[in-house]
Amino acid sequence: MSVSRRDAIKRLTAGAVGAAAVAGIGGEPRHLAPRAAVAGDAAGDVAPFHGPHQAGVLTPAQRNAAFAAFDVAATSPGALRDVFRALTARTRELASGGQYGAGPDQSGSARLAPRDDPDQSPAGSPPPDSGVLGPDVPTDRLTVTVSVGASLFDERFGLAARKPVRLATMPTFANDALEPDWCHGDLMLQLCADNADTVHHALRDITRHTRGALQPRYRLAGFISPPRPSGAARNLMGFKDGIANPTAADATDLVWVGAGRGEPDWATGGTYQVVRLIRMLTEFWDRITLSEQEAIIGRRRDSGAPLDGTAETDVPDYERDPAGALIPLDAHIRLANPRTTASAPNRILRRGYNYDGGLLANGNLDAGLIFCCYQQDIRRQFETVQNRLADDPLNDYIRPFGGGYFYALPGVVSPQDWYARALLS
Amino acid sequence: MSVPTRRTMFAAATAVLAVAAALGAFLLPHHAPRHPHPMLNESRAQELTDGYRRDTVARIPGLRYTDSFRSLVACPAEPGRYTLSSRYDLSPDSAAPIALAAVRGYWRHLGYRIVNDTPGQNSQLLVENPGDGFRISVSQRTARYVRLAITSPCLVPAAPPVALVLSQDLATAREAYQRYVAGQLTQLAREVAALRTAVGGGALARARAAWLTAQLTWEHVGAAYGSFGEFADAIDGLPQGLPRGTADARFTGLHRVEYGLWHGEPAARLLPIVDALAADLARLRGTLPQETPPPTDLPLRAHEILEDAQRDHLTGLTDFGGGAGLAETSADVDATEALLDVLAPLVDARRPDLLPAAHAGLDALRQALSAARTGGGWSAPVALSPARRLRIDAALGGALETLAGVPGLLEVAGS
Repeated sequence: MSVSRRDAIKRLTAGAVGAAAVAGIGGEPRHLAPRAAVAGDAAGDVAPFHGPHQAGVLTPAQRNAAFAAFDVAATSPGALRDVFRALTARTRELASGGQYGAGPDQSGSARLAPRDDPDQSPAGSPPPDSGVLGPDVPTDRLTVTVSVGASLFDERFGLAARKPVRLATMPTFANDALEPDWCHGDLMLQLCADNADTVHHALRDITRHTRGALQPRYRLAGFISPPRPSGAARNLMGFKDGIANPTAADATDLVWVGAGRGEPDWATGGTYQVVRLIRMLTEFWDRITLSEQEAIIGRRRDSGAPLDGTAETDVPDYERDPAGALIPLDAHIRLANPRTTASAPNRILRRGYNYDGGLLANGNLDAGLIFCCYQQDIRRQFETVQNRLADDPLNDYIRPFGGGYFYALPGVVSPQDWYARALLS
Repeated sequence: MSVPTRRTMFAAATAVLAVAAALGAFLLPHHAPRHPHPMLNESRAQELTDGYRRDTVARIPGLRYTDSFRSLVACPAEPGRYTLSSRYDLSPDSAAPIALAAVRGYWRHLGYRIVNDTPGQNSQLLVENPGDGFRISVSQRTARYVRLAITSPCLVPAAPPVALVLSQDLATAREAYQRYVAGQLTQLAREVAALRTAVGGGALARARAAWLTAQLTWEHVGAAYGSFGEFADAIDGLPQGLPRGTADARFTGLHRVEYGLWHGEPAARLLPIVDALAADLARLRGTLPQETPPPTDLPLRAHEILEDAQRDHLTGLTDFGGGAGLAETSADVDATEALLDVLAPLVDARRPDLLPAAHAGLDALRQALSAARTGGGWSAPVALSPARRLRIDAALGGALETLAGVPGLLEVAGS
């Protein structure tokens, strides 16, 4: 049976009317809720969107992520404002399950915010949503964290004087083999959700609504493994990772940029983001003995316990082991965090994801870590840690190939606010 | 690119000779436990050992670890079963006398059976936990030194232990390797001189050929993973980790010459680079005995030379125009063979099947590489047909899996 495309649409429309009519029978006429509840939906499934800080930093890590860097193709300050308004409108809607709708078109740009009325598309339009998540878009704890790179503050938009004072282009470190196509960018979006389809849907929605003004530069999807069998998730080297991480209680001292730190006023409430795309040479790693692996990391592979402890939550006691008899002096955990009073302000909030892609030119697996960390001051924190790791024996088994330095914008505080409003107004 | 040194596998390579003797010293006489742990494997035994260590040390205030050693010790009359035996040396961080009384009380409180309690100058307190058969001892020979020893009941380990290598055996292997390296470096010095002549004479084709000859001789040295430290960076460094990449002044040596020869650099600019290479090489030759990697690193190189080839030469990371990735890999096969020859007596004594398998794997790799040779030289890896490329990658991967068996076989002292 041949059904024309138009007939199919008519039938679908009729069906929708029918359903609405049925719903009205035998009860009060009611407005359709902005979105229906779907399986797995619960009160905890929404990461709050409005606030002084962006979500996706202190938010407990969702299982899936995408890190997507963009360059701004728009050329005028006005067009740049439209980009951030569109980003705000889309993120607000996606992260809140349609609670806010697409919002009125504040930008004046039909392309960036195509729907004047969120409930109706212009005549003849293709469907506004990809359908990847079905008709009822779940929130799935989606967060979209928007950061800007140093290149956004070049001559194009007249922002040079407003650049966060500690924002620079990521340098090349000694063990790096950086590939230009995988580095830097005007913008970095960190999209996280509990499920991979939600991340994909959000990225697809955002790229669609910013098409022509924001051009993707590179992107990499990541995941966090479930506890195996318990405790912190394992990375692709088989070791529990992220055991020692600052908590929300440390955020004022370590993460958020507050007033009085010499940063421009607009930056208050933001944080510096470092993204490093780190390939793991998993074949090589699998070819060394367990005792060597454990000595390199400084933890037991099975339990995650530091080599001087018995449980993953044990705090290594380096004072009792000054010669490295149990935990070698150059073990990764010892170099990264020596746990002294002097090293406490260097700590970073890590929020990394595994990545697992295709094959390398030599036929090996392309897999590793999307390292992501947040901090007040990249030099004081990430770079200090990174320099301590210059002679880390682990470096032989990893190969950083991309990433960049970014500044995660302050939060969007109200339904009237938008990303970078204070920067661009 | 600075290549960090892979961990010297076992930091406490100190008293390797003493190890065998010391085994007796801290091995705790063991009898079958009344209630042997039904599920005890090596990993669980390690966990329990860590727990006993931590518990015990927590009751002796003011101690610091100075050394540790673990090994699998065969159980008499129980073929295939071993105890996990661990020893920890500790010393006080102050002049206060070491107070062991709390340990004695604690173990009594737990109901451990006291096997030996010798007071006095050579004191030893040895207990057994009747619940799981673990034995723990604290012994003191001087006021400044305590030894804690923990021994598991007999268990079947994840892999049978191998006879520990004596440090003098590895030192002998290292001397042989050093003689081999010295010969290669002497040849390299002649080749760098020839390279200088060719570059100075302005004959590009001759200079390129002279570069390749020298580059391959360096590969024969087998200088993988940070062997020769700063000299390796100077002689064969890569630009990837440098802020200005190929334009960085710290990018020097053979690959820098390659870059110049394939990027139209005039002789006047290349000659100082070749001269610096010659000077760095001369300094390395002058200090070779100190610069040769320590004996404990030698077994690691059995697979690391070709791990390097896989990571760098077959991904194009070390190709600055010469397209020599396959030639370099082939030279790395030679270097690996030379190293295996040096290690052969030690490996054969422990696993006689390993080296024949390794040589077979290397032969297969050599054949796959030869098949990719063109009339006058080598294809660049990127120019290979998928079928040829696949054969090389497969042969290299297979050889590496076999070669990776060498380091664990030649352990000196477990940590």
